[in-house]
Amino acid sequence: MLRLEGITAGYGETQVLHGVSLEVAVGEVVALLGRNGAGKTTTLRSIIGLTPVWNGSVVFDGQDITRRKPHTLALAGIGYLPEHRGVFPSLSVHENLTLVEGRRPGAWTIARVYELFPRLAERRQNGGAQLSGGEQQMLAIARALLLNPKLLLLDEPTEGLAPLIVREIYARLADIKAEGATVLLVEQSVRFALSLADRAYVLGRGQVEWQGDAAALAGDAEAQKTWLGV
Amino acid sequence: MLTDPSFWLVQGLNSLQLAMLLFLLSVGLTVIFGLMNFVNLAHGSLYALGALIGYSIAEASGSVFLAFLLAPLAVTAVGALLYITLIERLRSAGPLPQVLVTFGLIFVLMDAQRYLWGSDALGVTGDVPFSGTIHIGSEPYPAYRLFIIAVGIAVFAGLYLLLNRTRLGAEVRAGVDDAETAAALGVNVERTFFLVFLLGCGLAGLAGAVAMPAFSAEAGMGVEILVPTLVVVVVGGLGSLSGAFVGSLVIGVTLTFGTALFPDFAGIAMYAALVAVLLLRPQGLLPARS
Ligand SMILES: Nc1ncnc2c1ncn2[C@@H]1O[C@H](COP(=O)(O)OP(=O)(O)OP(=O)(O)O)[C@@H](O)[C@H]1O
Ligand SMILES: [Mg+2]
Repeated sequence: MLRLEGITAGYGETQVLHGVSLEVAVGEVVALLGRNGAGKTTTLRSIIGLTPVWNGSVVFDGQDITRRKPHTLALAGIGYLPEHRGVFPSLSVHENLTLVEGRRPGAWTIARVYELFPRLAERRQNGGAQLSGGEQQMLAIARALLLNPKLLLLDEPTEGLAPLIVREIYARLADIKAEGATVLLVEQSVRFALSLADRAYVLGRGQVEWQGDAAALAGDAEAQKTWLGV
Repeated sequence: MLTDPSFWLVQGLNSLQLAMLLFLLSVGLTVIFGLMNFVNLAHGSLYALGALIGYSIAEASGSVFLAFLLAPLAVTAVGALLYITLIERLRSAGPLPQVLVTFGLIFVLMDAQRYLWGSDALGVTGDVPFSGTIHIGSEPYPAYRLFIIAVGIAVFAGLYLLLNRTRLGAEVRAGVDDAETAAALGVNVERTFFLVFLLGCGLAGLAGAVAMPAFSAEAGMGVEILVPTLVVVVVGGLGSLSGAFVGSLVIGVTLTFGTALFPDFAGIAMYAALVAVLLLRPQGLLPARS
């Protein structure tokens, strides 16, 4: 579904990614882990076209999508959950959803994401700025689902949330996985990510330092300590 | 004079009328700026163009209403041409090239206008609607100015509905909030920007056409109004429709009463208002992004 071949990227003159290669197969949940500043967010931004790729290529669904514009990639079937959620404060909860619904029709509709996250249905008339962190996260996930994506890019879906909400979000992500979703998941909370993922990559200073089965990493405290410092 | 209520009423209406012209001009500028951090300094020249084209249409057809309809469309077409030839390229060029090129454009457009229409102030000779006067106390007051106020309020209402009740409006608000995320969700922000830019050009043209019967049309009039327009954008707060409206009221009142009460300091009054707002609310009165 997705293949990165040695991509390099950065901001201005500063290089952040030094040749990242990774692959996500159809129906797979792949975790992308790494310490602060390792380049996880930059990798996702490069895939969706928000940060230009300098070298290397991004292949999605058999097509080279390197340097394509973000909105065309969204319409091609990449759903993106930005770091810090990106809920639009000027739009109500419902408007945040109608903005996206219908751009790529499919099984996910507003009615269905309200079923997945009943809290959002209760707060549909609230402004995006009035939501709690957990509700914002649910809204951002719901919005990405409404694109009926072939591939979901999730950047820290539990960042800054209370443990109870983290568990709820992960339960919903497990539902989404059970429906056969293909996901590239960036996470700080290694334990949750590895409980959901099939495989994992660990980034360090803009390069892949470790890759393998999620279960192998989950069971290997030594490896976690070396690569993730946990 | 100051104890005469009709003085306050007349100046109040004059303030409103000026405010509505400033609103028509500033609303396009501010939303474009909020959406793309792009500032088109030649926006005032499009106001002059609307007045001059409106004058020619009114003279040729004898109908000022036709001018109100066609002049904004013609200015929109000029805006589209500017967009395709210059502005699209400038989009990613950063603020300095944008300021320099659109500043240069002011002179290009002014000379083009002088070449086509000459340098004189041109007033329509045919019939003007609402040309009568009403009486405020003992003061006669031109009814046409009330018409300008009505146009401004109607445009504000229309834009309010467009922004808050349509998908395009939601795309604009989302784009102003966070253009990157909007794009990543499938919104063609570039296209939204283009549409808003055209709408802004059309409203500048409308402002010019509507101002023309009251104040005549002249090649330099765009430069004169540019500075108050930019002040409105800053005072109102970037990117926001209601900000442009409130900012226009503040500056309209300041300029009008400044001129009436302290003719020697009228120019300073506007800057005093600007500084006061910036000190108390650096982000402007009602910014789109807080
Ligand atoms: N907009 C930017 N401009 C300049 N440098 C940036 C920008 N965004 C990130 N960086 C730098 O790029 C490097 C990688 O950042 P990135 O956000 O990709 O890391 P990350 O793995 O997502 O980190 P975190 O776990 O903190 O979210 C960091 O050193 C960061 O300082
Ligand atoms: Mg990050």
